[in-house]
Amino acid sequence: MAAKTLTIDGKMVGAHEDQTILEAARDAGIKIPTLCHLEGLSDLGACRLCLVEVKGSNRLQPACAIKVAEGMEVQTHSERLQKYRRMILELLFAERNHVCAVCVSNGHCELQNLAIELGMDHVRFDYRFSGFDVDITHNRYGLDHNRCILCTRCVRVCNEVEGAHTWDVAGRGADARVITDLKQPWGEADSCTACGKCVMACPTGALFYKGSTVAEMERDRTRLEFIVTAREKKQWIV
Amino acid sequence: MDESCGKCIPCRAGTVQMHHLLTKILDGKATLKDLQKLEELCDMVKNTSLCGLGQTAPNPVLSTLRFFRHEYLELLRPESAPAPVKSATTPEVSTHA
Repeated sequence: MAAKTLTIDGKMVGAHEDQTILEAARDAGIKIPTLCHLEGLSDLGACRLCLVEVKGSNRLQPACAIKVAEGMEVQTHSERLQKYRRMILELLFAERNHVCAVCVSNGHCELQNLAIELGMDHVRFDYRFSGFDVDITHNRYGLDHNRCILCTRCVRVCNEVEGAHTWDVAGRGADARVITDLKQPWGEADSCTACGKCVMACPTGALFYKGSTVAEMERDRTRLEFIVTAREKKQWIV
Repeated sequence: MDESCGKCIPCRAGTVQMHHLLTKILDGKATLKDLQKLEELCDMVKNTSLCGLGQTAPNPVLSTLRFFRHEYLELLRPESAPAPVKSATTPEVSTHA
């Protein structure tokens, strides 16, 4: 496996040729914010939070999807990128109803954590107040579309790790939403194995264990990591 | 708005907000702050969108803002429009990014 040397934020970094900029940065201790990326799942490049500046390219590149190259010069935290990231978060907060005070994931939410981390302390855009339904037909889990950010982690984890492909996305643009089977209520979706991997993967409070109330929804990602490492590396590390 | 597939956030949510801000301007309810917000939003959507649709969707707004800025300014709420500045800047706004 060939090694590549690149510069991330002025720091010389060595990486394997099949690593992405995001992985190389993480190994070098540089944190790039992400939302749709989840360890063990395929990358989508949809949240646009991990965009970085690569010297020689006039377009911003998603760090999660771009492989490292020899002599690459990457900027991960320029003024411009931080401004864009904050604005992306503002758009997310304004798009649907992300009211932390009444959310099951309050305090354990990736969207909330990112807003705090990136200093997004107010939303300049007008809230759209989505009026989507809440699906609580499943006997163990619930789905609130109004808290969904369409990262499609649930879609990917169900397809790639569980292999059931219960989840998918229906509709376009602002009307897009995740669906189970052929847009049946979750409780009637026959392909669902009720494994709960989607609930573990969800970054916000969109998917939750039934019965959890405000700030009670904590997700156990270690189980997902365990399954993926076991499959890919044949290592059964608990 | 109807053309956005909804995969990436800047295009999915950004075009909706662009439309909302433009409607606000047309309704005569916008202030100078909204206009600045619109410009910042267009710049962001253009530079961060995943595909060509989102990358080009703000172009009509940006070019009308560049060449017909005075028309936008005329539609702003009377108290927020910079009346004396408006006539002074209109001829050479084309230098604006």
